[in-house]
Formats: sequence, C-alpha cells, structure tokens
Amino acid sequence: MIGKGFGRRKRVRKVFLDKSTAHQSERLSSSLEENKTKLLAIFDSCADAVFRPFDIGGQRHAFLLYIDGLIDNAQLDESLLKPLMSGTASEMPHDDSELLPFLQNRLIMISQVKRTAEWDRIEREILHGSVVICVDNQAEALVVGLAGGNTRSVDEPASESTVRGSRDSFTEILSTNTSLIRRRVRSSRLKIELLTVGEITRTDVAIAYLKGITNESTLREIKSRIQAIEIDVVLESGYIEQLIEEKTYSPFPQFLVTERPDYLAAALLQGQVAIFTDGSPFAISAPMTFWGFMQAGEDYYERVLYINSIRVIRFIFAMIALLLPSLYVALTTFHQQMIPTNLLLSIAAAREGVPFPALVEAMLMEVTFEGLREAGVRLPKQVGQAVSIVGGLVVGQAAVQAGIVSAPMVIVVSLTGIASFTIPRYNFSIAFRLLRFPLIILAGMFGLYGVSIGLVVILVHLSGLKSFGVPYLFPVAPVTWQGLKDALFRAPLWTLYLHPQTGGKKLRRKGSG
Amino acid sequence: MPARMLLLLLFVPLLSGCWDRVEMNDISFFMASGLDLSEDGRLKTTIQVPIPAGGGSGGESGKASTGTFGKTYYAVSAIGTNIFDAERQIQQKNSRHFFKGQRRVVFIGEALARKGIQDILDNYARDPRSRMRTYLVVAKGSEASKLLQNDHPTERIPAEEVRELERSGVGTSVTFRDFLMTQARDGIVPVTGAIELVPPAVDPSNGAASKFNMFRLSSTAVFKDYKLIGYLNDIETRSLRWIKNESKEEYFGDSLPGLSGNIGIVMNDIKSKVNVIMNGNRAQVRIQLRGTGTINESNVDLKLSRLSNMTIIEKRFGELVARQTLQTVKKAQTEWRADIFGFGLHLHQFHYRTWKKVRSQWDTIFSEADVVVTADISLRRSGIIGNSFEHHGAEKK
Repeated sequence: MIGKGFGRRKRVRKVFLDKSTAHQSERLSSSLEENKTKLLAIFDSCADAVFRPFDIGGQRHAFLLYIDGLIDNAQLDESLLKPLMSGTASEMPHDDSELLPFLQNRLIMISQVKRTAEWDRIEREILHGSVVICVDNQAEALVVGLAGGNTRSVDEPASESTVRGSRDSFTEILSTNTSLIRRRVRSSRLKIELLTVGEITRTDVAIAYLKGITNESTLREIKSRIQAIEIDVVLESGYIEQLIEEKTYSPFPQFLVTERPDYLAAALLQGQVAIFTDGSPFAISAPMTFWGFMQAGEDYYERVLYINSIRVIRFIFAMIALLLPSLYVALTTFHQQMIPTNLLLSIAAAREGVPFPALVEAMLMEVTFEGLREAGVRLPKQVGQAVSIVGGLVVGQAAVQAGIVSAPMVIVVSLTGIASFTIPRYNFSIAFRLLRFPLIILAGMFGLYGVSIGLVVILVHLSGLKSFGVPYLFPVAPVTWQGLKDALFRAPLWTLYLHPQTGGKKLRRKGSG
Repeated sequence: MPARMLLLLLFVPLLSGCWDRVEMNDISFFMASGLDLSEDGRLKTTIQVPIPAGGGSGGESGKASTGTFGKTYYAVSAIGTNIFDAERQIQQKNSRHFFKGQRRVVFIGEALARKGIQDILDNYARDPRSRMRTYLVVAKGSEASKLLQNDHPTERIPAEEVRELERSGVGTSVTFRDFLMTQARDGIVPVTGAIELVPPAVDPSNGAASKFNMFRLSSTAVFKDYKLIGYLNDIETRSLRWIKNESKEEYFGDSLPGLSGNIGIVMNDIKSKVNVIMNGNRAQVRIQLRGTGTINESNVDLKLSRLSNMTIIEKRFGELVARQTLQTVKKAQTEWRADIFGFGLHLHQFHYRTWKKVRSQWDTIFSEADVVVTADISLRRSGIIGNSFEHHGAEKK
C-alpha cells in the first residue's frame, strides 16, 4: 500500500451499486404525472422528503420536493410558495416556453435558481438542500437553492487554543468554512474549487488555494489524487488525508490539520493547498514540513524575542518527549558512570526496592500514561474528573509507595507527558509519542548505542520523507538561507519578505522592494 | 525478503540478556578504595560502598535516607597478593557487581606509600573500568582503611567530602592521570595530596563532636621513585602550588617582617616564572612570583588609605612570600634531593641539549642549585575601612 511518488490511484472499497437507482442519462418528461411518479420512486421510503403539489397563480399544476431539515423553511414559505401561489393569472404567459423564465425572473424571489432536465442532477441538488419545482407541461425543473436548517454556529476552537489570535473555528458546514477563509483573504486570487468524493455520501470537498502563489503542479497533483479516490464513504477530512498522503506507514503526518481559520489562511498564504470536507470542522492542508509542524500560528502574532525563546523551549521539550524515558533507561542500566554521583545515589536509593528492571518499569509507566490519556479523551465530560484523580493517585503516589515503581521514573514519565503537549500540532505530537516506545526498548537492550541507532533511523526516514514533492526537513535539509529565517528561529516579520518556498514560488510579500 | 528480515528482528529481544545491561539494584558503587600494607606484608584493600536506602518507600516523606544500622555506607576489606586478588575476595562477600566508574578517591596508607606504590598503579592504569580522574591521596600518619570508616558530619558518603576538598583548591589535588603523567616526565618528581584525620574541635574532649573526625587536606606527599619520602606542610604546599602555577588564588595570614602586627591577604591571579640556567655544572634557578591581591584583614599600624603605606605592605609581603618560597625549595633540595618543582622539566623543555648532559646527575645538581626568588606583589584593594580599629584615631604617618 505504500505509494511511490505521484500519479497512483487509490482503489478503496467499491461497493456494488444497485442498478435500479442508476438513472444517469435519463431526462425529465413533460408530463407532470410521470415526473411525479419518477421522483417519488427515487425518494421512496425517505420519510424526510417532503412532497407538495400546488397551483401556480391558480392555473398551472405544479409540485415541489425537498428534504426536511436541509432547507430554510421560513424562506421557502415566504419567498417561494407565497409569490408562486398568489401570482396573478393575467400576467402569466400562455406560451409554455416562456413560463419557466417568467417564474425565474418575476416570481421566485430567491437568488439561486437553476433549470435542469437531468434526473441525477435533480437528485443531487435535492440532497444538497435545494427545492425542486416541476411544472405541468414542462420538460425542465427549477432548482432553487435554499440550503439552511439547523447547523452549529461558529464557535471557539475546541482543540487548538491560543492566547492571542482569533477565536472562531471551522464548523461542519463547508460554505461557512470557506467564508471564514474568504473573510481573511479578501482576494479574488483565493480560488475555491468544488469536488465530490464518496459514491454514497457524495461529500463536497473544496480545494482552496491562492492562484499565483501555490505551485501549480502541487495543486494539479492534489486535485488529481482527490479525483482518483474511489470510495463510498467520506465522513471526515481524515479520510481524504489518508487516501492522498504519500507515506501511509510513516509516524509523521504530512498534512496540517486545523480547525482555526487564521492558521489555515496563513498556510494558504504560504502556498499550501487547503482541502475542506463537508461535515468536518477540520481542514487539511499540504505540503507541510517538519518545521511547519513545530510552529503555532501565534508564532507570528507575538513579538519576535518572546516567540524565539518559546521555540527553543518547544524544541527542548520535543526532544524530552521523544528521548527522556529512553535516556533514563539507558543511563541507569548501562552508563551509570555518566550520572553525577549524588544524583546516582538518589536514583539508586529510590530504585532499591523496585522489583522490575528499569526497562519494564518505563514501559509500564508509559503505557499507563497513554492509557490514562486515552481514557481522558474518551470519557464523558461528567466523569472526566475521576480519571485525573484516580490516574494521579494511582500513577503518582500509590505506585511509588507500594514500591512498584520508583519516584524518579514517575518524574520522567510525567515530564515526558507534559512535554508531548508542548508540540503545537496534535497530529505531529502523536509521532513523538509513538516513537518513544521503540526508543525505550532500544535503550533497554543496547543503551545509548541503541538510542543513537534509533535516532539515526528516524533521521534517515525524515530525510527521505516528502510532502507533495517538498522535502520534509526543508529548509534545513536541503538548506536555503531564506528559509532558515523561519525554521528553528523566526526572524522579525519585516525580514521575511520572500514567500516561503514550500510549494510556492519566490514572490515578494511586500508590494515594493 | 522483508518478511525474513522482520523475522530476524523478532530475535533481537532474545539477545538482550547477553548485553552488559546491569540494573542499579545489582551494583555496588565504589565510592573510594583504600590500600594498606597488611601485617604479613601483603596488600589490604578496603572499599567504601554506599548503602542505598529506601526499600520501596523512596518517595515517601523525603526522610533522610539512612540504610541498615543507620549508616549510609559501609567499608569492606580483604587481604590479597595484589589489588585484583583482594577485590576478587571482596566480591565473594558481595552479590552486587563492583562498579568503579564513580570512584572518586583512592587512599594510600602511609606505610604502603613509604614501601612503594609502583605495583598498585598498574591495576588502576590498566583496568578500563577505573577512571584516571580518580584522586590519589595519601593517608598521612594513618591507615587508609581508617579514613574509609570515618563518619562525616555533613556528607552521606565520606569519600565525597574528600573529593570536594580536593576539588575546592585548598591544597594539592592530584589524580591518577596527573600522577602518572608527572611520573613519566623527566626532571620532575610527582606529589599527591595528603589527608589526615583531625577532630573538628581544638579540644577533642568536647562531647558530641568527638564522635567523628574531619578530613584535613593539609599537606603534600612527595613521591620519589614511587616511594613516599616526606610531606610539605600547608605553607610549603602554598609555595609549591604558586611555583608550579597550579592555583589561581591563595590565602595568606601572616606577620609581616619588619612591621609590628599581621595581615590577611587574598592573592588572586597569581603567576610564576621559572628560569633555569646551567652555569657549568651548577644550576641557577630564578623564580619570579607575581600576583595581585586584596587586603582582607589588617592589624598593622598603618593607614591603608595612603598609597605609600600600601607600597610598604606590598614590599614586606613580597619579602615574606619570597622567603617562604625559598625555604620550601631549600627543604626539597636538602631533605629529599627531589625536584618537585619541575626545574629539570624546564631545562628539558627549553634547553634540551643542556638537559641531556645533566640528566643523569640532576638530583645532585638540583640539590646544589642556587635559587633566587623575587616576588612582585600588587595589592589592589585595602577593604572599606582605612585604619585598623586598634589604631583608630591615632592618625600616624
């Protein structure tokens, strides 16, 4: 399953579609009765489909059909049904061919009105929240866009909090999400293209990019990969991410996943291509680099000295999250001479009654911690408190007092746990959490030698990793001096006048000079 | 192929038992070793091992960790033909593996040191598990095993106190590496620090304080041909360290010649320059001592805020330092005929042709050398008061 490079297709779980519902090339007939039978057959046993026959201006028979809950009912009554039903008969054209333009131009007071004769399009539009009106003696139907209904409003981001920065986050509605971006990037160069993925779910997937900044070939590649997806179900942006990413079996993510519009806008302005999935409050964006994952959006909002010191802390803690338990195991079981004497004596005293080898102790504690964390995520909010109390007591104190684990190990594990939360991108911190375990085992078997081997393997893997053609360690390897201004450290904003080259072109950010 | 490699990887954990992994619970840390001459002339080795306290309640209430019998360490000895044999016998008494990577100090009993330490050095230099940065210390006037069994009031592990003493720069500090390097050189005789046990209070009958003794790094042991031949006392050690440029800071509290009263001076930034010239078969040694200092105590009848008075003190103090240094050199010349200062090394390094001629009789030449010591002292600060209190208001000079 590990795809090599560009241009491969993903074939995923294609179900056999019932041919009776396939009506690709069929068109409407001019008989209202026939159309009615046909439409009701399509939406047979769909309790939420509302069928409503009526007369236009008291003369022409017509009916409309929509899905309850997907549309704005008040507007339907006020702006559609009311003018249609109360329309005066005198003004009505007698010519059949002029009827639909007349309805469109004079009576329907709604902006999105289209005419179509294709059944599959009608079906799709209804399922996307449109009202379909069929009129007697007309071989075309009117499709009125009235999408609405109950949706979650724009809320504060739940998983990415920040001290400074905007407080809105994406919702489940695609159009809301794209509008949040559009509000930040008021440029017609921001292009949003719509695709549909999922043969059953027919999920709208929007690709957003900035024309002229985004690398065209990256864009083409992403688009073609999305188009190549053959799958029935897309429920979350994670489906898209997993289906188009390059290295499925790498612990390192290749997409930015965010629910913050300001982060995503920044990503777009850096030349990335964003992908929205209808129904998911998480947008994904690529190509991403290692250093990009280590940055938070706040890095650009706060002042440069503060942010650079924070970045130093962040890298130190990322190293702690990855290495501390394995270093502890390696030092205490192989390299006792490397520990300062007094510290060594303290550790020796604490370890004196512990029945397990340090390796087992470390694995035990790390697994327990990860379990507690998982429990904390899954538990209902009402009992969440219990986990932290029990977890803190069990892991922190009782285990030490019972002599099952040593106190230094508790310190190591809790420090590691805290350190993994300092990595700004959640999906990136997972890589560090995962890689910790093989490193602990290597440390327990080969000491520092094993840890070094593990690190070399990770480094080799990272050097070979690419996200849509951009090397993962860019701009450190391969090095570009312009890029280094915003990798480990961030230079002042006014020095960052070139667009970063992650998939983008060398363009000046500022209008002049 | 990848499947076969994965299968191989599965066997890797089985190998883990073969590697040199040692749990901390299975290690005896050597904190210090002591070497003595046993009654039958064999080697008595004593080791000091900490008792890691805890036993399951390591995290509890942070109480001072005292192990069995309320002790934080224990000492074991064995008598053997050589160090390895003695350690082998100690290992038979101890299930935990010896770990020498943290050893700080090796004590050598005075009797053994006088007999010669050539044989014991081999093990320390050869065994990769022992560190060359371990301090080598002579137990002055005592057996090494006594020093290893002495409780210390502050340190949990007594050897730790000795190490800190050596590191603090109050006296001669010589590691195995230093000793062996000096020994291997031509024209210099190695020295080590010497530690003696002293009661903490001047009056040893003073109750609780007499239960334990303090370590005192007071003197320097001189080794000629691997044999201890004598000690330099603390004043002489100071001079030795100044000549050899080994210290950056020295403390002086002495009466000044030609002045009534005494003075306390901290010398910083001290340096020396040694020049050795062969004049026929006679060596002429010129030692220039330099340094800047601060007056921390003055019981001299002089107003120190005056520059002229400071000059007087500088001059007198220089005389004192030069005299002390000269006495030290004379002691080495007359008592031991041992060039602990490295004058021969100076010739070796700067006048090699001359050195080749005098090398064989260097001890004699050294003992007969003419030595001139000059001291160039500048005192930068005299503290924050002018006169000393007892002469306050007298306003003399």
